[in-house]
Amino acid sequence: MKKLLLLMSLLVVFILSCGGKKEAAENGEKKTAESDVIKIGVIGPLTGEVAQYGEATINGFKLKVKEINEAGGINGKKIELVISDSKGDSTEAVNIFKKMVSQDKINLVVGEIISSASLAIADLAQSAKVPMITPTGTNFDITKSKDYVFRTTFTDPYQGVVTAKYAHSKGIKSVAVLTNSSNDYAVGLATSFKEEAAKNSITVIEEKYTKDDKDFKSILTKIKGQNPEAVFIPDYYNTIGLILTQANELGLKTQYLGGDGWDGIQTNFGAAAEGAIFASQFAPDDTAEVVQKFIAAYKAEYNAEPIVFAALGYDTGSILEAALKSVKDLSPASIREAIAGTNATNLITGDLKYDAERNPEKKVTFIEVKDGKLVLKEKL
Amino acid sequence: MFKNFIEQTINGLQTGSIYALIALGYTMVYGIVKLINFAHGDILMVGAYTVFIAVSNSIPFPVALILAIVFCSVLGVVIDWFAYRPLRNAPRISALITAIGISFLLESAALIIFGATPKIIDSKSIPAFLSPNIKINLGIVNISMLTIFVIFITIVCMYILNLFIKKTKLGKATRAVSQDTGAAKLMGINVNLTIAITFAIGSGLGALGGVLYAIMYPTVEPYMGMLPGLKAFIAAVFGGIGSIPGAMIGGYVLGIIESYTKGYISSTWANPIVFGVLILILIFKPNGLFGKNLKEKV
Amino acid sequence: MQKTKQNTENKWGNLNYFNKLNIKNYSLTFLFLIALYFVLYLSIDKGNPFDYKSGIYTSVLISIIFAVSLNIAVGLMGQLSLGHAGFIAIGGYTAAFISKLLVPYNLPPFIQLIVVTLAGGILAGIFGFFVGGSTLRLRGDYLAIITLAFGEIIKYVIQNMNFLGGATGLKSIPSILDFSSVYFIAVISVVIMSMIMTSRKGRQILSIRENEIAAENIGIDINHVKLYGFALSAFFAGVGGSLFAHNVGILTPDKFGFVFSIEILVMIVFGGLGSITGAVLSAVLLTVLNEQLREVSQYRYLVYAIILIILMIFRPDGVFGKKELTIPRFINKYKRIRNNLNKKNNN
Repeated sequence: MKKLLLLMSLLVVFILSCGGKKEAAENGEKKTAESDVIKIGVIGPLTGEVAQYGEATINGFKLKVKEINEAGGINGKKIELVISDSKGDSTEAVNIFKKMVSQDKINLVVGEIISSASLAIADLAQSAKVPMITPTGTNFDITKSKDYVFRTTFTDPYQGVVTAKYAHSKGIKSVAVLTNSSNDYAVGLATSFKEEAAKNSITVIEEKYTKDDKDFKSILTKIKGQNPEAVFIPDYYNTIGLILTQANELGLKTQYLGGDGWDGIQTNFGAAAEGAIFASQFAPDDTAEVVQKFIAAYKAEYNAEPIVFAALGYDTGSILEAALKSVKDLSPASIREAIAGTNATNLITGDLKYDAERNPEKKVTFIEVKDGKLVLKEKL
Repeated sequence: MFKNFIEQTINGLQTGSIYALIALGYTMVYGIVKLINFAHGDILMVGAYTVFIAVSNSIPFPVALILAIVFCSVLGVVIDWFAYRPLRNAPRISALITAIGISFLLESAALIIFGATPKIIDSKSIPAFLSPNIKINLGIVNISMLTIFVIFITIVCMYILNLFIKKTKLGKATRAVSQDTGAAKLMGINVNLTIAITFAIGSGLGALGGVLYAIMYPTVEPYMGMLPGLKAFIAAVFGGIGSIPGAMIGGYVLGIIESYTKGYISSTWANPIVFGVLILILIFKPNGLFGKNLKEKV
Repeated sequence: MQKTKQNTENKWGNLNYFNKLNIKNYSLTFLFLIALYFVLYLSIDKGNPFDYKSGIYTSVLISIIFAVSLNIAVGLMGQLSLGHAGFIAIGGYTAAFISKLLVPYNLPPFIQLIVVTLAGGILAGIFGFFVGGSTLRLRGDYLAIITLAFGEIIKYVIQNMNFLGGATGLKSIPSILDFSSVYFIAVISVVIMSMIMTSRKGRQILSIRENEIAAENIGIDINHVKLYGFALSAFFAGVGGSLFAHNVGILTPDKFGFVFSIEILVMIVFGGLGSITGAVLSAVLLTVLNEQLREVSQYRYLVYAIILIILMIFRPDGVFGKKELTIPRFINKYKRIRNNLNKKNNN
């Protein structure tokens, strides 16, 4: 009992010493923060399994912000970014978000990149009344009944429905769906695809796996026995690559379909993914002027080919630029109003207007993997 | 239906081979120093990374494979020398915690050096006899070269290891040390050398398993050794820890259980069922199928 | 003769720290805890829902519960359990699930938190009882492995439970805790655990660590005590899990893997296997370090690993070993130093 005493005193000393330092730092910040900059918090996976997405999105966003700042900022205010790495982990994203709101005093949040982590912080953004825009989180529930949360990308229900319709238009009668049940994005996309497929009288068989799985041969063998005309894999590219490699080994040859998580498959698994078709919002061979200009700028800045995530990050910057230019003050409510009223026609990933649930209405682009490159197949 | 069953069995044998290779290391080390070498699963990861680096520097694959095996053998001996040797007579709990520490050390070192983004071993560098895309028709089913090679090499390794333990002087020494270290010392056996050899062989086999694993599932990442390592350990316990044929049979049984669960029940239940098997064995037959019945000495 | 007597007295005197009901010390500690609460409470910015400091205090307090509860099984009972995260998961999920059900009834947050936390703790305790029961025949390594298997199984089974959010996790857990309620629950938990460990039951648990056979010979029912110890450890893990769940607001099964168990194990190994105060101190230290090292978190595990290995080789008892930091000890030390100084001055 009494041993607690000493311990507590040590604790107090320790915490006070920590607290003291923090206090000093905060006071210093407050003096400069208020007037001349707009602070945007950026949360995304810069390391870890989905780092390729996080890096591309944040790079795209940073590119746009750099352009804005070089053009004199927004109404004379420069944009300052606070970027933090969530590793794609929901808990980590929550901690970062809390820290950004309470310590960095950000005006709005751009993030997260993957659906699971975006869902985790969307609730907090709503309760703290901090405007949040996720460039790439497609899960429907992220913005559902949260009037402070927006997105740049289309939603899973929309994407899944269009993909199912596309499969139907190609005369496909039976589809096997491989769902990663640890992943909100995959679950959301699979659910809407299955519903729409059923409406179009496509027979669906579903197999589930989790994040820890590396061996898909048993599931694929099972699917092979049922002989579907197409296989729909709504997951991220690393797992898709593993699945495709093993499917090739088993000689399972069908039409592979997928969602926008496939973008990036061409880097390591181009050969295995040959002929696959997936839904996306951006094609590198699109001839529109904005697209080509963006690709050139991105290449010059990062010396890499932009993927759809980079385009969405860039577009998020464009949306925010338009919204922030029109606000009188930087209160969360007026920023929220301005974003909700977005009507953008200069975007790389297609024109954007928000509906009542703050989801964009956009065109879907279908991309085919051909000779290890992404080729525009058609727009729907 | 029957064809499907055969295919699932082959899948099980293939993963089972990997488990068996790794389980050998667990079993040998446990037999001789009574330590669950938690870091053994991570040796698999080190082996996979070694091959990845070698192949990216355009070293031919067979050479890279030998390099990985040698490197991991040395690493195993070094780990034993630095971390486990000072604790030979310490309480079990300390040795086990140290082993966990080593496992974390290897994982985080890989994380710092290579990052968490998975690395892919280029499929162009893999020779024909290991290729997953060249298939051989066996009448009922097609099997890839990779599958055949994995199963074949495991059985060969097992056979050679068994000969080594049974016939050679060193092998006899390892058996002697595992039975009674003190007496072995009195008979003039160099105990430390014997233990080092055991670690070298176990780690080398682990590395081989790791390389094959990285070809089967072509992503290499810092935590890749954790789950296969745990499952291989389960295989070793199943067969009776300390027994070499036991480890082999345990590995195959486990692989097949996993494959059938994924094929006929659901993929998401495969892991809990495997761990359930472990719990049942430990409760009802802690010495496994072929293990010696050892009473805890008072 | 005189010397031996002195020695024996000292020896027994040390033992008597535990069972001397020292009113002064109790009240001192009590006052201290109250004072500490106010000091911490006043340093928090109440207007801010995500105040950084209160966030850190909360996670420190939760870690303390985790560490002390694991220390009951590992440090005090000597049974290496690697499945602690599983019990935390059970407590967290149970509490969060009930909490979500209770949302429409608009209970006062504090009452709701207490209710769901107890529920989580009790369910985790029941699981702990069964896990303990399955390990009765096992010792050492095998015991560690079976607890690890249980921990992993719990994680995988939760992944397959759709009503618990499945593998994607349980989301939108009501945030009904604030710093005060966490402080209250954490202090009560640690106090209860310390009291139990210094009671008769507690010493039976200690006897198992020291020597099972001897303990059995003096008539202690080993199996009974082991079950009790495991259930107790799991109960408080569940309590901590409940707080953890409400603090983060989202639970994903893969968070509760083997690595999480090891993180807690590192805390108690560092603090000293068997020292409650050591566990508390090292939980505070490591949690704050984790916060500070967030930007370089890939090095965190490397540092953990090195700490573990070096401690095990050179100081297997951790920093505090089995000693407790007690006020009398502190006062004695102080007196001794003062006396030495006086002697020097006199000389």
